[in-house]
Amino acid sequence: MQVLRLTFRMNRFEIVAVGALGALIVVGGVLVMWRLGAVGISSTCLPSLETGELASGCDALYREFQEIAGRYGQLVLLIGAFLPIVGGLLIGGPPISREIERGTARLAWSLSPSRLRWYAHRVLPMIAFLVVVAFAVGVVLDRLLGAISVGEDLSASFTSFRMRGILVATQAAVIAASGIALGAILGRSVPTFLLSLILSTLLIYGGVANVHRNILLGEADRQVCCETYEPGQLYLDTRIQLPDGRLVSYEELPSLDAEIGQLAFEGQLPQVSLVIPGSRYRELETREAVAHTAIVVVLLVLAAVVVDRRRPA
Amino acid sequence: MGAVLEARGFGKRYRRRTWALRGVDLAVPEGSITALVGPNGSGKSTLIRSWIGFETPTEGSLVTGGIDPRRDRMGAVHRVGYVPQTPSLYPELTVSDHTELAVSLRRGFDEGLARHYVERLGIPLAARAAELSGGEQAQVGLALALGTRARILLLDEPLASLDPLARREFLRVLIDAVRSDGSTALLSSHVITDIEQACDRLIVLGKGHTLLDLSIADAIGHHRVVDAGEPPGNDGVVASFPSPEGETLTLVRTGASDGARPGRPASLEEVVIGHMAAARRREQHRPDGAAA
Repeated sequence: MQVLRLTFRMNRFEIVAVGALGALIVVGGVLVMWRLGAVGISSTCLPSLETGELASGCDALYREFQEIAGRYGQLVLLIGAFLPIVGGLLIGGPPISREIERGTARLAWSLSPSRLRWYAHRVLPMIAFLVVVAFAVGVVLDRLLGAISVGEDLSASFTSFRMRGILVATQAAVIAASGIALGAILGRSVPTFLLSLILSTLLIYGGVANVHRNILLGEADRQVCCETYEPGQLYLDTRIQLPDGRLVSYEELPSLDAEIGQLAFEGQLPQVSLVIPGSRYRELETREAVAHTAIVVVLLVLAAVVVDRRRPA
Repeated sequence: MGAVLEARGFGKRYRRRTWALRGVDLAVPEGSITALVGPNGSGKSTLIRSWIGFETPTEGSLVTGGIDPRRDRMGAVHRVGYVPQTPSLYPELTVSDHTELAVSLRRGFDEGLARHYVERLGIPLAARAAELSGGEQAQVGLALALGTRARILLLDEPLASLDPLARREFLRVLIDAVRSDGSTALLSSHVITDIEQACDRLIVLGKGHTLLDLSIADAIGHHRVVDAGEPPGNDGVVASFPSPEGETLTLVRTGASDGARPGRPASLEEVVIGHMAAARRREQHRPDGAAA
């Protein structure tokens, strides 16, 4: 408890800011869900997917629902989308870099024979706090999206993939861990903020998401393009199916036989969409969460090694 | 009495360019309060930081309480209480929080002792570090170092930001603490009068070398100062330097019983200044003009 209290006092601004942002999203999300529940709209009162028309007598109800969902619900979702970034940067950037920059790390390292103990005291409570806040936000965003997407089973849908549920927490943790690792290396607060934003974006979107997409391309279902699109599917790419059954991308076409290229150009070869069915949502969410967690562990271990070896300012 | 801090052929070079220190051989005896004096850039902080394992020697070796800090930094930190040049307290925390922090970081930290020294120095435990003056922060830093109950205290110019009264209180606490439990202190400072009050040994560093390593009594007893009008003789001349009035004084090294020589007994400040002046002159006459 003593360590938690001191860590809170040292990082009061960051903890209050992230806690307030998280509370705002949770409370806002709960309020919007409560109001949407009070409207009591059912899937029969939503516009038809085919015609876009509303059933008779649903106009007022649907307008009220749209007013709440479109204005307040979307606002909460929008703010929620920034929580991993803001929370990760605020919680991950300062703890190590600021201590090295200000020289307080030197005092602590002269008192503590084990720098790893100091490191654990500084980092683990902060990361735990961020994960709890971001997880609560992720759960609320998941429920809020469920309340807005009436009739859709979000546990089997890729709608707003990576912007709800546990991935909110794991992405926030990756950004924070990037800040901690860079802070340990650079020992300067402002460069740590900027570079951790870049590094975590590369890791989350350039690394995990891209690698995962390439893995999923091999696991995807093939659908004849553009006729049977279902909202909950994860769309990956559209390819052209060659007469021998192979799928090629548009970029690969020029390198193929000129005759086949001509056929594709004339639209005589079928286009195939590569999609992941919504039923695999939980599995893929878990897979990405595990990848994020692995990155967090690697970054935190890297930071620990740097802390143990570096010279104090 | 054995040495608890040793440097053997110690050298430290930064970024493969400048040698901060080179070829330093010295030993700090157990139970002593030793002053480490030298001009800015002479490597005092580098040497102190190396003994606690914050810097890695480029050449040579160090011993801190019987262990090599390069091989066992944790052991070195465990044996040392360190007061850095700038206190670097956590501005958001109170003095009391700092003692609690030390307890959480160091097994065996004597919080009661640290609080006792803080209170003795008249610093409120509830005060936030940001509200303290530079001198008070240095005193809290000393109390934390004493709370470690380490047998070796390394103090890196802690007196620089203190007013004369605070300096005296700081030194009183330091002397009492060291004398009461027989620990060893190495105090880096520019303030010679304070050194004379507090220390029993003097090491003068100049441009990376040890210029002088004597007890305070020997440093004073083995030097004399000759005024401008008197012939200093041919033997034992260390260097000439200006007095505060602008006259040229000459520091002469003598034997312990060499009382018949001209001049008057040297003050500790004159001994230090004379040896620094000699080092500077040697540096200027070096063919390449560079530090060794």
